[in-house]
Amino acid sequence: MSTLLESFNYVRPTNLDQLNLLVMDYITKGYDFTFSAGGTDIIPRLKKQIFNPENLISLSGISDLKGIEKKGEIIIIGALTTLDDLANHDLIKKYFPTLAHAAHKVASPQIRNRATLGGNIMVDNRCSYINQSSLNRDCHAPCFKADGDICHIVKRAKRGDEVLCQARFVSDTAPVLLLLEANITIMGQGGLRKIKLNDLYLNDGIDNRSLRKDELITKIEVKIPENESLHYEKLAIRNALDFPSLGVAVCLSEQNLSVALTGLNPRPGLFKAKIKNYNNFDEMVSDICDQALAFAVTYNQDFFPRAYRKSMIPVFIKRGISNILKEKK
Amino acid sequence: MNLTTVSVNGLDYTKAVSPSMTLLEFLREELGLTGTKNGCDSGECGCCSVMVDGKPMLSCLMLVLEAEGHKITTIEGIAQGNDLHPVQEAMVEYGAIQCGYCTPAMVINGVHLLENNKNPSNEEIKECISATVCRCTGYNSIERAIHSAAAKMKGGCHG
Ligand SMILES: Cc1cc2nc3c(=O)[nH]c(=O)nc-3n(C[C@H](O)[C@H](O)[C@H](O)COP(=O)(O)OP(=O)(O)OC[C@H]3O[C@@H](n4cnc5c(N)ncnc54)[C@H](O)[C@@H]3O)c2cc1C
Ligand code: SF4
Repeated sequence: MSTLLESFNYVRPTNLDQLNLLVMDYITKGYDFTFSAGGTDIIPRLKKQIFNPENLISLSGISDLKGIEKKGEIIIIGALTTLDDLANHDLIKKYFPTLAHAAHKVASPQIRNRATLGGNIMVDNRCSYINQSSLNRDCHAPCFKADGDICHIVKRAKRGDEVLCQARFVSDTAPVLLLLEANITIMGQGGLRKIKLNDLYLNDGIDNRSLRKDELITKIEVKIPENESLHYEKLAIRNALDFPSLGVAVCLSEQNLSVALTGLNPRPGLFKAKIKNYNNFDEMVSDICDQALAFAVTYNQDFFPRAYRKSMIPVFIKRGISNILKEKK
Repeated sequence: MNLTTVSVNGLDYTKAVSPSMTLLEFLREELGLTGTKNGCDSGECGCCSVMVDGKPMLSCLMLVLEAEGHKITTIEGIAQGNDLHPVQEAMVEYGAIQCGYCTPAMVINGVHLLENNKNPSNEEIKECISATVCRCTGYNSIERAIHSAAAKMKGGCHG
């Protein structure tokens, strides 16, 4: 018997048809289930009893969901591709070095050998009150994310508020994928649909993704950039193992500057500026920093004080730009 | 209970297990292979590293049922009989073992590094051991041990 994990039923389909039949069966019967890919986000949450699904559907046996290929100017990444394979793949290193870098910044070597890209863009939002052992959580009244009636971060929050829970978005790869305007393919009982990655994210720490229960991500598609250069920088206490306290991705082309943020609000931030709309470059940079600062909601939910995390946003944006300009020379 | 067959250090073991059993619990409690340690049980200390198809992964974050069809190597599978692996020898030689709790994981990660990179830089060695917490040595002796093992392995002492 497992020491920390509550019991659940486990199934590992080996192809997409089996998976579809299984999901259809569970949906018709009204069974509670959840998907697991590499399990490196979900297993700790199960151990901490943050949630207890009755059924775990493992995607790890479906080889059709793994691998990276080039079709014309598009690179297609299977959702089950591991972060280590992504970071070391020739196509990714050649066309998307910043994506390889961001994948390499996730957790630790051992975790990246198992963690998947699909799991990383789906990684659950985090808060210092919820991502704790159940013993620790028992010291506080259960918060909204634990089906309770209070938020320990925003005490005045109440059901019906636009943003009920402030648990932070923490994926390291998502900001880079957002700037690359990645699309994701979603498979569900209604068939396949393709959406922009940005449309996956909702601004709430609990209901933070736009997927239906029966839906899963099968692939991530990214167009090879023509003249854009990117940079990603992460603020974390330690290089290994820590989630981003702040992550800033910057993309610069002849025409545009764009910035994506992670580690702050319940959804990632995404801002774009067209160079032609400004009198000069500095004005544009200062405007995009203002937009990012206006978006960023920081609470004391993390090791770094909120004011520090916020003040690092413009620093990282400007550093990103100057690194890109330096590399171009 | 689910029936599963898992290949560990070259032998197949078939057992009935609970689906919520982790690979770590299976190794320690079902097979008695207690070399792999349980530290934080949540992916943060690296103690439970084992190789899955030759790559280090955390056995506390992996369900045993996920290990079916893969080759697991634990610290017990690293030495060949009484012959220690050069990484193990170097750990002894450099005093890189104190309380010993992180040692199996340091060895697993070090062996993987040297199998894939004959000339690791300081940075690469640091990254390889970065996610295994050691509270005794201060890491320097472990780094030196891996360096020395790399040099020895190039000399062709082992295997
Ligand atoms: C110690 C530690 C440190 C970490 N540090 C970081 C970090 O620095 N940065 C970071 O970004 N993450 C970090 N993580 C979290 C996690 O390891 C990564 O985000 C990882 O990429 C998750 O991928 P996975 O395949 O293991 O996901 P899983 O745990 O399998 O799944 C995560 C979630 O995504 C859903 N899911 C998975 N695949 C799909 C799919 N194809 N379609 C739909 N839903 C899916 C699952 O249902 C689950 O809710 C850390 C984890 C640990 C334990
Ligand atoms: S932000 Fe509030 S509701 Fe959300 S997890 Fe933290 S304490 Fe709970």
